[in-house]
Amino acid sequence: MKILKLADYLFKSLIRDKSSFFWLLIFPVILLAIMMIIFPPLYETKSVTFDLTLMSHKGMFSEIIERVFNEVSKGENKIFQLKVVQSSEENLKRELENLKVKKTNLIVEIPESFDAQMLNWFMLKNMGGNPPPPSINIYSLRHQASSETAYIIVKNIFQKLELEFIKRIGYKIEEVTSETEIVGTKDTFSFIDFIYPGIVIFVVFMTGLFGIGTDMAWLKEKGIIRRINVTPLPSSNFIISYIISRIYLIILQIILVTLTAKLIFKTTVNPLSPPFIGYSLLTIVCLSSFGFFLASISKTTNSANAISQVLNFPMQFLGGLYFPVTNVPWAIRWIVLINPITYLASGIRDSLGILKSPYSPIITITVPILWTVFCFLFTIKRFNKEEF
Amino acid sequence: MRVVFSLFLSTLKVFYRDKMTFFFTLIFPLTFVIIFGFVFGGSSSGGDNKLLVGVLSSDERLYSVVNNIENLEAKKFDSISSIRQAILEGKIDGGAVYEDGKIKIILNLTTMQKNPFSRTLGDTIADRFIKSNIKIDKVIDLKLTSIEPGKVSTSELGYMIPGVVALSIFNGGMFSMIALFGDYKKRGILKRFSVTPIEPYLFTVGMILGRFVVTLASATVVLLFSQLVFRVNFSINWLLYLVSASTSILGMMAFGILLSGIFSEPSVASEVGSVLMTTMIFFSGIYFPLEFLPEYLRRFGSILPLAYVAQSIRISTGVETGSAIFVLNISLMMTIVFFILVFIFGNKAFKSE
Repeated sequence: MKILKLADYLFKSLIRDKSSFFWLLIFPVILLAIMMIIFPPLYETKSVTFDLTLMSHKGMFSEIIERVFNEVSKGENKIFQLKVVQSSEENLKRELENLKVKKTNLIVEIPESFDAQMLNWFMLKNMGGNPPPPSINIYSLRHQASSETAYIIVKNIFQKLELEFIKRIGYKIEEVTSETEIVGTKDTFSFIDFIYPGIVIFVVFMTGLFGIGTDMAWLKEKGIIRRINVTPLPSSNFIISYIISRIYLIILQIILVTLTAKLIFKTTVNPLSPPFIGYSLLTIVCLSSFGFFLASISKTTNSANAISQVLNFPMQFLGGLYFPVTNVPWAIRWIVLINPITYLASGIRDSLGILKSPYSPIITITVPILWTVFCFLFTIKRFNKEEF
Repeated sequence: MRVVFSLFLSTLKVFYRDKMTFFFTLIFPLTFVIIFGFVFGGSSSGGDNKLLVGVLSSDERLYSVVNNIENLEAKKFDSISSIRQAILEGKIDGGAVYEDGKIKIILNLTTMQKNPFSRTLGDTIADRFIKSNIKIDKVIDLKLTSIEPGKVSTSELGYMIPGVVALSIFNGGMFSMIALFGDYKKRGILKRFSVTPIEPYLFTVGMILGRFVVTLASATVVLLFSQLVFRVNFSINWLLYLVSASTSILGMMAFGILLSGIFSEPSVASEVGSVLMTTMIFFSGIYFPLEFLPEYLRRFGSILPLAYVAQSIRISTGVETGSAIFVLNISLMMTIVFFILVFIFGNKAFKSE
């Protein structure tokens, strides 16, 4: 009973601290929301309208192209905000400047010789020749996602247009469609299903680093565990209470993130499924032990905090929480391979059918267990020597 | 002057001893550079990097179609499962399989993130596949010219680095002033100085100067480190860089002073600063494109100071086009805001002590 009472007290004192309350309970929910705002539009650009400049002139084929672009630039769900200008060197120069300052996303320039070349191409093709295809110039802006996406759409439009031209000159076209599969996903890729288990691991990791690592280092630095040794409460009971209080915290964190993912972002992941619960428990045990390990190697709170900050981002990013890290160069691949988060994230996603893991289930379970055993043994040895 | 110099030197020492400020000003941006450098460093958004596509060795037609597409290189595999495994392990970028009138493209998330063109791989291969049967490769040749937004041709990483430098400036400037006007006040350091013969303004100048120099040095180290290690191309206009970086530091210091003025508890000011930093990382367009976000979020992004600092640094490093007038206007604004705030809150801080 005393253990539970103390655990209750430790838990309450942690969440009463405004900073811990914010960073450990509120921030993960905010992070999930931010990620859901930023990333899904990068995979689906349905509601975006791109500024397109079409540089055209009179001519049968040019006018067909212009009509097609006009068609997709109409209505509420229009793909382009189309601006048609006469093809000329002067206009091109001006439009390129507009492109550079992001006033337009893409320029499609139909050269003046295009129609004549097209006629020529059709005639020679009908006669069995192999003429070079007429060209259309496209200008995009590097490092601008909207410009690159606009080019992808324009390229698709031209591919369809080409097939229409080919059909009209009497060629028989076989029907070939295409579909894309993101490797390892069972159904259509859903960003919330991908990121939700990642955020669950993130919250446990945060508790491990800052809720346990830094906090325990503070208890050590202030000699609180030593002082407890002279009270009737055995220090082992204190540690058990401490662990229970952190489990309370982690459960609360996971519930908050799960409610947000389920109710607001409609994840299809079942948080009560055995694989999810199993990997979550493994994550809790592994990353909590990592927190204790961190506390045991830090002499002061400040150094524990500094180590936590240094490890925080590389372990998150190179553990594949936000994007897969399978094909990174060897210079940092070793961090990926020794990082327990890599296996936890891959394992949980694989077991839920979200993304196939490059590692077998045995490895995704064994590596975190090995980390857990190492961290606990090291911590016990270090604490026995210093604190008890 | 000697007082200012001594304070300046002591600030330099404190910077390297204060693990948190040191971390957020130098180590944090360097970590980002290293991670993004290795993960995204080799990629180029212009589509000029060849994607390695796995195809079945039994499908000679598809193999030849894929090999004939610019930016693609085909590699033969015995089975679909071996293609999938190679993609998972990062050995190839994607796979293509033709089955019952359908081209199936297999990709992984990393390829999609690194190369936006990979998303249309299915349409491109299907199109060429159809045409290969009638011996027509192309009817219209689309000649893509990717215009560099700046003076220099740089990789995706090169475009990102000025944002990391801006982040270093933001962190260094803001957190140092929270420490000076919040933490020093709380710990009674300002009070102790007020009983010495040192004039408050000399103390403020010395401390700010020290923090200013270390922040500028850290930002420049981040810039040069990325240039040296990842061979990123920049065309640095050093004068413009120094002006924009220096005034941006002053502007971000003003931000820190403002937070210290609003929140009397330095830890709260520091927490609010951290939240602002996180928000700006996501919404100021330094790492993630904002073009696909809803209009209100793009507007929100456009009022964040980090977006302007990043743009000024991009212009001065030559990765983005922009007039020197724009950079100088931003610089002037940052400097004015800094002097107003340092005058108001600097006086207030010392008077209250």
